Amino acid sequence: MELLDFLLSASFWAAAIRIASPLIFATLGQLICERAGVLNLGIEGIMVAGAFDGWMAVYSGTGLWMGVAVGMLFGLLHSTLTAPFGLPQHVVGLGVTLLATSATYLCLSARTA
Amino acid sequence: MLLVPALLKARFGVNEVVTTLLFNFIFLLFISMPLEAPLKDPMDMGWPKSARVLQEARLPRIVDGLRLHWGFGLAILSAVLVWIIQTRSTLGYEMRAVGNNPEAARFAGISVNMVLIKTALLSGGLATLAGFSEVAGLKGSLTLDLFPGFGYTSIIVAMLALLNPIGVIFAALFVAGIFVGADTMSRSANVPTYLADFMLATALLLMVLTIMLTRFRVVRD
Repeated sequence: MELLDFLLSASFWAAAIRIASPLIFATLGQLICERAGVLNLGIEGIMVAGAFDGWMAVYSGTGLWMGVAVGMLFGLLHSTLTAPFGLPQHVVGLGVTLLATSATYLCLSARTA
Repeated sequence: MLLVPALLKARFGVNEVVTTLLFNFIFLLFISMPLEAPLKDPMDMGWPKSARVLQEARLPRIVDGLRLHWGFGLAILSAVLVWIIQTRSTLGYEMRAVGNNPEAARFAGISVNMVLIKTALLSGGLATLAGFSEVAGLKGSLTLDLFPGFGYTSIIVAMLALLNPIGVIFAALFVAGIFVGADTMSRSANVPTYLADFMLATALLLMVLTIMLTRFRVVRD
């Protein structure tokens, strides 16, 4: 009965929906890539970079869409390396992840230092 | 342990990138389970950390006073062994054939699945050696944070070494130098350590790009 109460409580569903929303965005992005036959392993890092840039954009007074623009730039990098140059997708994906996360952390520590 | 993704790939054609990526989490949690209860060191304030390895079972140090241990010798030995396998054995020839063109290898009478499984066994064994040398040589006990992303770093190292086992030794020394250098810089000059990751990511992307570009030849007519 306790489990049922838990499942029926509003806070459980609120938390589930809250946690699902970034997953929906990430999955949609991955889905588009997979439909085109590209495995996007760079998504983890691009998400971090987008989060930082969204924060940064709002912090400095521009719109939230700057974060999206930066994510698109990283996507452009990933796609240029994989599609026209034909590089191995998983290596490029890991590289983009590492690049995006480390660049973000670098900017963040430069920002807060 | 790497046998499972290899068998899945060989039998059902499951994408090995996805399975191995997800098996990371499975194995980490699987190790964390005994580490939380029966393997936990009772003398160690409740950290998820195993009891120390016996002194007799540990790898000896090369030089007294430094933390450098014979795991390094083991690593060089394995690099030479992998080089011998890759260049001087039938399995190495088959591995390269399957890697370059699986279809052509299959037509040439090579059992692609067997090569996949053998390669996975070799690769898993080498990864285990990495864990062994780190536990028995450096740390002396098992923790979950033994390798801060070394698996992904090793992909960068492999690319920098142009997939040559002997080159791996030098590429690994180079990458390790960048890491140690970044640590020293962050201590003395207050430069964030993420600079090392940033440099390595750039190096990796430029390296794969360069490998691709070197395949082009200038043709004059």
